[in-house]
Amino acid sequence: MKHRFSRLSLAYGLICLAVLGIMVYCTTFLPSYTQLDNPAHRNVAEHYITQAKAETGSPNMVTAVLADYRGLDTLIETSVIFTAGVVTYALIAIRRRKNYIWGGDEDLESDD
Amino acid sequence: MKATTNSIILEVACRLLIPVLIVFGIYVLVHGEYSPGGGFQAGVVLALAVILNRVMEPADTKKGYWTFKIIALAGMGPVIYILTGLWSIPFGGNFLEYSLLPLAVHEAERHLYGILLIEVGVTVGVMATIISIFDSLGKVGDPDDHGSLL
Repeated sequence: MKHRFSRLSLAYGLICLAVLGIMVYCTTFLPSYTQLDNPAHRNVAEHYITQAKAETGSPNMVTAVLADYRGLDTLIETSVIFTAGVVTYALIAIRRRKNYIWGGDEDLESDD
Repeated sequence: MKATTNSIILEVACRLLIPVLIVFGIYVLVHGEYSPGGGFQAGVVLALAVILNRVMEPADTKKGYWTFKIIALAGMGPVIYILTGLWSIPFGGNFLEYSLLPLAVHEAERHLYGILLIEVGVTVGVMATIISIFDSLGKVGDPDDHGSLL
């Protein structure tokens, strides 16, 4: 009997849905939009503008925020870009290896 | 008969552009602390130099795509970043506290070298990721390719 979707891909889909549900649930903890008393609007921008040069010694305010105040954020950004490359490579490599991995189902090849 | 070039115009333009792109990418990287620029932009400019070289090659040459090696290089970017961050911890600093790096220069200069190191990590990551996406897409139509993962 031929399965259009393997059980493995069903399990991957369920994992993706679960992660999506967790992320959507976590958005309820974020500050709401258009509120002037959000932490981002209160005093942090003024602090960066007035104190960046004294606190970090960097002549460029953008660099001070990017590399000093938000250094961990930039690290995770780099990892996100790396993840994008890995996922593109994996999707295309899996497509090329589909016959090898899932045993040569010709229906899977004809969907493009 | 093998083609020697896709188009004269493309080849002449790319030969003029590629060295300029490499020099400008390195300039954007090392000048990122003072002026607009930095790791992400430098990575894109350097990746464009490699991609223009791929585009310039004649259509019927066997292209040397680097898919897996370039993914490994892209992984080195965050590794360089994390190692730079961890480097100051044995000398009493926090993660990514550049002014405590063990370099025998003035404090502001240590800060500059720390930022340069993390920008190098970002540049390597972005450049290798863009090249790897281009190379993965370029391997799709290759009839000789049987889907080797490496």
